Amino acid sequence: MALNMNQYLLKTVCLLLISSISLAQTKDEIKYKERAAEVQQEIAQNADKAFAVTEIPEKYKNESAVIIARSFEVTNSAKRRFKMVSIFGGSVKQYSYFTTLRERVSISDKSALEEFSTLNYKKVVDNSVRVYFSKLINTSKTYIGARVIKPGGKITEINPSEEEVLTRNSDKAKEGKIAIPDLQVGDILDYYIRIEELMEDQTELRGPDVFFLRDDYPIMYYNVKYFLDKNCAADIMSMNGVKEIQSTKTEDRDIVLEFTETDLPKISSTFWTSQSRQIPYHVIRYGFPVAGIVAKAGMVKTGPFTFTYKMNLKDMFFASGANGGVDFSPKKSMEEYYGGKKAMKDLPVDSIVNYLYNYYHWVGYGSFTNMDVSNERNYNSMNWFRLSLSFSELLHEYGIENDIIFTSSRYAPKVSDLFSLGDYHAMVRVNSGARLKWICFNDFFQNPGQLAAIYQGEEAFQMARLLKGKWPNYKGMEDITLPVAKSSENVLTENLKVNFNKDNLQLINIERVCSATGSMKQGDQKKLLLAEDVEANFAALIDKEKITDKLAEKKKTKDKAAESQAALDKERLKQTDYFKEDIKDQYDQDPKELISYGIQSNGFSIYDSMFKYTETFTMENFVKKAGNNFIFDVGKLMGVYKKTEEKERNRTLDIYMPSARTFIYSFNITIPDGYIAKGVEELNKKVENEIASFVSTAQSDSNIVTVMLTRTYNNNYEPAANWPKLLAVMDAASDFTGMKLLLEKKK
Amino acid sequence: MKKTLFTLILLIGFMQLASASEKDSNVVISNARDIYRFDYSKKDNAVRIMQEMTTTYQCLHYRTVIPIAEFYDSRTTIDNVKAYVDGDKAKYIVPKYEYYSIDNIFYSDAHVCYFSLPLEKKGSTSEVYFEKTITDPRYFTSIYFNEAYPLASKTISISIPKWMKLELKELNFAGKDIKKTVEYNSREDADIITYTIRNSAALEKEGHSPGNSYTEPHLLVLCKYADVPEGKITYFNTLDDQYAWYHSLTKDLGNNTAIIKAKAQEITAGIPGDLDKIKKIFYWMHDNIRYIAFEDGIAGFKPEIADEVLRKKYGDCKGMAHLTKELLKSLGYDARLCWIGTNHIAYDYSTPSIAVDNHMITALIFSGKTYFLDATENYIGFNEYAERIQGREVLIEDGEKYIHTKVPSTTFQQNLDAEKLELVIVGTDLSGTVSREWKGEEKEYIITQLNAIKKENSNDAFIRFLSKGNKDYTISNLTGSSTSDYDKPLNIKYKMQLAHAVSSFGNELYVDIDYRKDLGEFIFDLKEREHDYWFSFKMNTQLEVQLDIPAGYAVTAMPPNVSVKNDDYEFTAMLTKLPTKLVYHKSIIVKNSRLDKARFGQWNDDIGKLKAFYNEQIVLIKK
Repeated sequence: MALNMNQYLLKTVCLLLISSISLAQTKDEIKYKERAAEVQQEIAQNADKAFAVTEIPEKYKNESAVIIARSFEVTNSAKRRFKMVSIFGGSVKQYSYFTTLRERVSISDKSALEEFSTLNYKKVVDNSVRVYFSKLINTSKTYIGARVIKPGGKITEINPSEEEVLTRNSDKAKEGKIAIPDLQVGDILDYYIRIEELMEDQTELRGPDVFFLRDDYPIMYYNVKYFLDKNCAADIMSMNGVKEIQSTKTEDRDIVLEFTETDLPKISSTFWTSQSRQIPYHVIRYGFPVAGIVAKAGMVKTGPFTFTYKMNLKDMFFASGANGGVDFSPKKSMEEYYGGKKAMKDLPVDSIVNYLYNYYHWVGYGSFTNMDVSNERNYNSMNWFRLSLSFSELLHEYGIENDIIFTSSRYAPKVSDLFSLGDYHAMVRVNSGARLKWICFNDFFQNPGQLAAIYQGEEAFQMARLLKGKWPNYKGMEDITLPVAKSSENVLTENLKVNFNKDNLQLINIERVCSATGSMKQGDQKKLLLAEDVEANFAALIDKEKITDKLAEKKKTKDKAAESQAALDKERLKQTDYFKEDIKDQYDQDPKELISYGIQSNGFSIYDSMFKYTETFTMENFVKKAGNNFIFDVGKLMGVYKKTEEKERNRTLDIYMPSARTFIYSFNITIPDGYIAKGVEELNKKVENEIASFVSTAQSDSNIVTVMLTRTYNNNYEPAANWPKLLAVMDAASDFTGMKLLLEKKK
Repeated sequence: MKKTLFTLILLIGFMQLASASEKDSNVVISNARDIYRFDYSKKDNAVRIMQEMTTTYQCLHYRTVIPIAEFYDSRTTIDNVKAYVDGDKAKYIVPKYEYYSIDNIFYSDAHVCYFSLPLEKKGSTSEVYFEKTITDPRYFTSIYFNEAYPLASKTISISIPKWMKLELKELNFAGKDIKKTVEYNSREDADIITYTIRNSAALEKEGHSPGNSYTEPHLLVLCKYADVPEGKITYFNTLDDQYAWYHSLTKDLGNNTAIIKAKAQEITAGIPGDLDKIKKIFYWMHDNIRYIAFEDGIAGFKPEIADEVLRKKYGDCKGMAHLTKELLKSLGYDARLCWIGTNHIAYDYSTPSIAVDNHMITALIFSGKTYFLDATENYIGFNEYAERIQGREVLIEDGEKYIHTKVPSTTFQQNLDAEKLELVIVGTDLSGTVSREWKGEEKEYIITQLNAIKKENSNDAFIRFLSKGNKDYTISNLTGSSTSDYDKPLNIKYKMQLAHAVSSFGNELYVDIDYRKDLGEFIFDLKEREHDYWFSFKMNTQLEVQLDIPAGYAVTAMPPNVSVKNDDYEFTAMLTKLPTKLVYHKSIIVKNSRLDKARFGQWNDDIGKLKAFYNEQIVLIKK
């Protein structure tokens, strides 16, 4: 059949298109290969002599792997090019970013071999967009190279194009994988990854790139180099005792940033540490001037940038407050709750603070209309900047003096060492005689007035909200130090009533009542409370209906409410498992039977801020038969407390504990009829020093043995020198878990 | 590993993970239709299988969004996908097509088409329609009935034209509500076989359970041949056909024999005996060739060239088997490739199909005996066999023919974990010397674990393992045999001290003689466990403790001995009082690695006896 003209044209165009695509693909591939060869040559020519080292120092002979040399290099530039971006033509700016990581690793065991034997990479990413007759390029290409150096010095070059498999292979995206051939234990792997990004008319903030000077393996040589265009800006910072990044300029006024470190040991213990305060590191951020970079074009600024950020934070709060950033929604609700606007005048400050706090938390916790009913939301965080601003402004509405406080977590750099504006945490301090002083937004389970443990003892900036002015009006920043709660404010108490099963003395029944205050409760609250109950508790505190109840009242949302409730009901069935898991965590074994459980106090209200729950269950393996007698592992009632390992017993790093805290245990053990308890006196122990203590007292009265234990850590931070004192207390606690009672059959 | 089985596991595994099916599911499949039709292309002289799947999901309690995933690879294509929400075509749903990455498989040709499917409210339904093509009947191996969600009704309809010869084997139908009808369609000149399953539970995955081919209702599809106008196209009409196809893929792999021979000679240089040379080659493979799984189209069946495996120092099971064969062959030994299905697969060669195999090993015919060498079992000894291949049918290449035989089954005695302690009481501690020996798969397990840990941490990890994580159990003077001598048992010796193992009250000492308490908590939840339990391998655990009775003390009470013996397992815990010593001997033997669900109650009772023993102490009283 003859084709008509239209069909003919269509077919011809299609054929041309197909052949041009296949030709283009071939061209692209050739281009890619040519560039890969250039990159390989360039990297080989510019290598530092550290990349020729083959010998590993004796001290690292027992390491799984040693990084003989690592280099990280960034080169960027900007060029203006003519392009047909409109029918009149025009110019665009083309930004290029070349990033090269090279690593030379000595592999000494199969574990390291497994880790280093494969490479995954995005070979090509093309996000270019077409504009009129031209296209704006936004591409990323990755070039890989590797060589294996055998113990005898033989070098095998790896040809990626022969070895790679493509897991994605389209015009716009190619992703590849390489299993390094001929790599064995005892070899040195020397590989690089070069990423070349091209962007047109699009700048972005790059970094921050953080270079920790500790890794899982020792590093013999570590070099980082940035060659930045003269119009680029860079912020840098070097922390924790490390020498500063060297900043120079070339003849063309391009910026060069560089540091070199040698013989870096691997990371040691992470137990009770604050890594970003204890591990030396460098950080670099750069780009053609965009928001987020402190330095101006062509400049390098060395952080911390505290002075600038203090101004930025103030401006940010002012701007956000003046531009509708304040959530005034609690106001009407609160005034209704307290009997109208007039009644607010006579209210104690704490009443207003308490209501606002609970309202914002209720709203922030969210609803269940998307059927997300899991209690994983208990671990969500809040937008502390926005909430601090809103909270402060609403306090201001009622004439309550307050400050915005900026600080950082104890597990992040100090507030005076923060590198980025987004690293700051914000909270509110209420003045005007408030008892509920600290308003934190880091956690849904923080009580109003309570300063979160992660902020305690931290340096902070205080920015007072001036009462004058409709728009947020702040005083200048002042440096303050946040207080630390005493160990008596963070208390975990466990009261256990223990009975032996009459028919089987090797089965014990435990009624466990746990109560927690301060920083000791949030973990358990998150683990045990259902999302439905959390939402209902917040709602109750501000006299609101549960969300599902409210939705059920309206015809339009009735069905959705019923479905939400069905999802919540299903979720409730999991609570048994949460309690079983709690018991398992505590005793390292499953209960034989969980008889009952319940939450007696959710700990949300400032009037009853203790979180309290009960569990009644039976356990095996606590009692061993011994002839006519029984041995009872009374020490196990304290729960699992493992002895500190030998390698952890020497310590040079200062100690960051979660909080100052106290653990109180009370065991009330009913000795079965026909038996007497022996070994009670041996349960009396005391180890006490100025930073911590462990005290146990025991007594026997008729058929009841009572044991009281107290373990206290007085501070949330200790210098490393105090580690032996802490160890003494921790060892005493660990030893106690091995204590036993003899139940001797009466003769 | 071969792709058909792999893809099947992948599909079922992914769906389970993705949907997290629960017994009280919020989503059910109210109706599903799965239609298969054979199509002959005269142009290609090839038969294809066209598949249409329509699945209707119903929301029972609350609105939700469920993940939909359909897999395809180089032998299957997804030709059309449609989704309907409450009867309306959901144009906003755009399926994504991506490479599917699976743990432990470096690269495969598996791809996934996936999207999220909303179920708008309680009672609403959403429907998914897929059209797929299987481009080669050899790869059309099975049809499973169950899904990731509970199933109200599903029909599977297979239209078999008279020119297509295939057999459907109905497997695991017992206890299921499955009905079958057969009717002749004269227009298509085909038999239409239709199965309908009703009210079937969602697929459940449990650890240590038999593979799905043992438990799930399904059809094993055996495509034998197509009698088409251009002539007969034979697939796997007989086992001969299956072997012929395998052989066609392996007969001319183009190895560089000179390179292989040179390497084999280098490895065995200075070793005089044949058996020692053979072992050396096998163990060299353990130490030098890494297992990396590839599943790539025809490459899923075709071994990599042996000298390429040698160059790369890695390979999948086929590549490793091939290199083992060629190294041995180059030294003049009669080594051959073997196709085998591990015990994960329920089938054998009575049903010729690529679904029978998922593994490749090497056979060595030496001095009139056939040995099987599995180079992927990294630390196993020569003539020792992993549980997964024991007793499995195997096809050994034999030129144009093949040898159809079985890998030997070994007893529990192949695997040994034997520990001997000589102890004295020091205060409230037990102190003394320990010697321990591992053989077979016990040894392989230990060495595998040790090699997975960074070497600077391996000593600590080993000590943690030996002490069962008990910080009161301290170890010193640890010495042992080499972990790289796979031909010998692994032996260690050390000094130990176990704090708080003795309780002292007045004149009495109470001794906990067994710090290990093996299997003490290993009981089955009779309400929850759905499937039989398959042990990783047969167990043979022996513990002997010799405890010196302190001078001036007499043993006044001991736990009563335990002795349990049946066809599946034996537990013995026995204390013997000698004049100055107490000798404790414990033996735990699992003879049958497959424990039927029906035996769980008995097992729990027997473990209870062992546990009672563990929870009783020896009493020593000062005379």
